[in-house]
Amino acid sequence: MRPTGDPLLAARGLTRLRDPARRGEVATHSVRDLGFALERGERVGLLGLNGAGKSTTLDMLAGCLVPDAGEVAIAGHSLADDPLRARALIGYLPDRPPVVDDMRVDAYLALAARLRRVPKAEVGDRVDAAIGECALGEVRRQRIATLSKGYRQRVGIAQAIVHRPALVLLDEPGSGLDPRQSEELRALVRRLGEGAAVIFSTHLLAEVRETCDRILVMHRGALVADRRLDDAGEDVESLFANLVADAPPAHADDGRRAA
Amino acid sequence: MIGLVARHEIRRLAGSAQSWVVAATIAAVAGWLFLSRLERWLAVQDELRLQDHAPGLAGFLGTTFLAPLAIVLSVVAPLYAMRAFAEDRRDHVWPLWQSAPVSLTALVLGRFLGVSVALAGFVALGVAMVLSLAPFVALDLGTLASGAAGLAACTLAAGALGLWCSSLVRAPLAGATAAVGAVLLAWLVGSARFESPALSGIASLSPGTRLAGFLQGAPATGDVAYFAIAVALFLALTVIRLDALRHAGG
Repeated sequence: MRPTGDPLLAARGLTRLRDPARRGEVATHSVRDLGFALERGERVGLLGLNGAGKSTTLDMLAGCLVPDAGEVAIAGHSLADDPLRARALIGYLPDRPPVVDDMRVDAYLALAARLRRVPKAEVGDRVDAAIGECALGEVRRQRIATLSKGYRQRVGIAQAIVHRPALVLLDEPGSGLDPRQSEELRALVRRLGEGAAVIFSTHLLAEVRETCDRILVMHRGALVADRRLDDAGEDVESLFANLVADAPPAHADDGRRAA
Repeated sequence: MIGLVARHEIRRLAGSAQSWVVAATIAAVAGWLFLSRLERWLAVQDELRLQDHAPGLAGFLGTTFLAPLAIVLSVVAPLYAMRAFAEDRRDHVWPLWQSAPVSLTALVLGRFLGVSVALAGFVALGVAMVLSLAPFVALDLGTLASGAAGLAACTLAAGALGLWCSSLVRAPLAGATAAVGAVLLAWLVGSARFESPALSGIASLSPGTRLAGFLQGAPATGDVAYFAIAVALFLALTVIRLDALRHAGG
C-alpha cells in the first residue's frame, strides 16, 4: 500500500490564509509555507503559543481543511488527489473531541472503526483494544453526554486510534485531563509511537520533552524550528522561552500582518 | 459506506424524543384527516351516484386526503433532516466525518437514505389508512399506488431540501425554518392565480401542481422528472456546500 521511498507524511509549502472570505483585503496567514516529513515510529511534538497555527496545521494534515497552497501526502497518497486512501491512514483528535453525545462509548467507537474501514468482524476487538488503551472500561456502556470532560477527551483519543492508523494527529490531547490522566496519556503516546507516527500539539515544552523524539516549533504560522529532541538541548528551550517572552498579550496579534 | 451512514442517521432519529413527538403528531393529524375525509365521502354518496364519472374512493381520497397529507409531510421532512449536518457542526462532531475515508457523496446519500427511511414510514402510514378500507370497498389500487408514489416523491424532495438547508447553518432549527419557509412558498405559488400568462408558468414549479397528476393516477413524465430533478439538485447542492466547508473551514 505504501510506495517505497515515500515518507509516511510529507507536507510541502502548506499555506492557509487566516480568513479566506476576505482574501485580498487582509493578507494574513494562519499557516505560512510549512513543510516537513515524518517517518513511521516518530513521535513529534508540535509546539507553539496559542494562535501559532498548530490547530490549522493539524486540520490540514487530517484533510479537514484544504490548504490555500501546498500539499500533503500520506504514505505517498496525496490528500488532494487520493483523499480516501490518504485519510484511511490517519487518526485525528481535533481540539474538541468529535464525540456524539447521544451514543454509548462502545457504540460510538464501533461507528468510528467502521467509518475508518475496519472490517466488521474485527470491530469488536478493535473497540476493546481502544477502550483498554484509553482506560475507558468502566464507562464503556455509558452515554457520552454523561461523561466528564476528561473521559470525553479519552473517548476522543480512542476514536483516533481505534483503527490502528499509521499516523495519529492529536490536537492538545492533554486538555481537560487531570495530572494522572496526563501521565497516562503520555505513556499512551509513547506506546503509539511503537507502531505509528504521532504528531501532537501542545504549548507545554515539558510535555513534549517527556513524550517525543522530535519537536517542531511554530510561531505566527511559520515553522521556526525542527529538531530531534536528543540534540536539541538548550537550543529549543531558549528559542521557546524567547517566543514566550516576545508574545504580545492575548488577542493583540489577531489580524497582525504576517510578513 | 452509504448503508453505515444511513444506519447511523436512522439510529439518531430513532433515539431522538423530538422525532417521536413529531411522529405522534403526524399520526394524529393523518388519522384526523383520514376520518374527516372518509366521513365527507360517505356524506356525498347521493351526489356521487348522480355523476357519470364519479371518482372512486381511491380517487376521492387522493385529492382530499393524500394532497393535504403531502403538504404536512413536506413541512415535516425538513424537521427530520435538520439535524443531519447542522447538529454535527454545532456539536463539533463534523471532523469525525470530515477526517474519515468517506466521500461527501456517500455521506450525503447515506444521510438522505436514513432520513428517507424515516419519512417512508409516514407515507406508508397514510397509504395503510386508505388500504384499511379495502375489505369493505373496491379500491382502484393503480390510482392509490400513483398517489403514494407522488406523496413519497414530494416528501423526499422536501427532505433533500431540508438536508441542503441543514448544511448551510450550524443551528438545526434555523435550517429547518429556512426549508419549511421555502416549502410553504413553493406550495403557495401553486395555489396562486396569476393574471399574466408569463407568470402562470411559475405555478408549474409548485410541488402541488406536479403532485396533481400523481393523485389522479396519471402522472406525466414531467411530473416524475420534476421531483427527481429536485431531489438530485438539492443533494448535489449539499455535496457542493460540504465541499466548500472543507475549503472555508467550519
